[in-house]
Amino acid sequence: MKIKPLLATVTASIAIATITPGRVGAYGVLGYSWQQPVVPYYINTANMDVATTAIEPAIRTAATAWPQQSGASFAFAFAGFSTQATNTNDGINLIMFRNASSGSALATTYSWFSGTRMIDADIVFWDANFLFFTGSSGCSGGFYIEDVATHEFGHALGLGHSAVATATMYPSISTCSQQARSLDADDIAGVLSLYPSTAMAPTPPTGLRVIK
Amino acid sequence: MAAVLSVAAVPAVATAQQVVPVADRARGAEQVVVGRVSSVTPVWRENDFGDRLIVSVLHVIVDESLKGSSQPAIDVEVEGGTIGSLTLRVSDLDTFVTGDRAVFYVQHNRRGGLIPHRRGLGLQKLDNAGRVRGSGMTLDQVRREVRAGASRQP
Repeated sequence: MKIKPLLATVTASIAIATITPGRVGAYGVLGYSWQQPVVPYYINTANMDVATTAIEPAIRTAATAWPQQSGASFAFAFAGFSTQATNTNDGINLIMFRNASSGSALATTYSWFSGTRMIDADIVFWDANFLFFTGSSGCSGGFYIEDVATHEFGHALGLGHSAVATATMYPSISTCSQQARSLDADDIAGVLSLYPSTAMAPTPPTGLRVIK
Repeated sequence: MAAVLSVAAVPAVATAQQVVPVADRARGAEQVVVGRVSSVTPVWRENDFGDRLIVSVLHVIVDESLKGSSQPAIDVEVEGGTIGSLTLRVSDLDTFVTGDRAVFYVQHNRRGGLIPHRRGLGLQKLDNAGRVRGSGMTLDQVRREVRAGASRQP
């Protein structure tokens, strides 16, 4: 049985020391964005905590939170499953879980861009030291994938951290919180600054393929 | 700009650095140094997970060794950087430019290079007053805590 050292009892201060973008409002933009309205992503569902079948719906909830709650003219769209376990600038926007620790981060977004044009984004969940859950009940001493992924998709679409404590892009999350999956007005202002609303949010494609 | 937020019982964070006690950061690090970045060289590297990434090699002139071997300079590999028109940004790692001063908690990777111990937790930038950015912690406090961490080594 896997034993994970939980950090749930730690009392800590949080330093916003990583992605510190130029401020427009309380939200931050990183200076790059996608040029196309729909960006596909793939998922490697192998993980240590939850049924692999539960991963895609949880990630989808996070991905769709941004266009559905903001009306932004941009969407991430699930394109298929993958067994790929490494990331690089390969045009495959991959979400994966890794049996490793990143110190204190629950997940990390690797954003590749050229000039102001985003060209690849991969998200790694650090699965070794944290417990992940899906849905909206049953969490104990861990974190819901929906909420962590919504935050990471925010980075993947070009947002930095926000100073608003109720924002999805606020850099910390409490155990079992379900707050981040619901965008704050600050998050909405941030994403609309990058992808202004159109009459209709883009419709993700429905075709799927499996990549290796 | 870095900011510090006092939060009660915040257990973990997404892509931000938790202020883990310096002693804890130092305990597992092979080497802890205070130094200034004298150059940043972006290169393509494969990390221990097999990711092919742009990595910035920070040449650090060591002002002070707080733990481990004493060397006049070290090279620290930090994921992220720019080669040509292509940039990689990694959400849990700080970016560095020439002249930045920091405390580096490092360990060797499988290729023998030095990387931040516990990724983002292994990098603590210092401000002009010699305080850890975003925390107000002084370098003297860092020194004391690193020594405390080292003394608790098994």
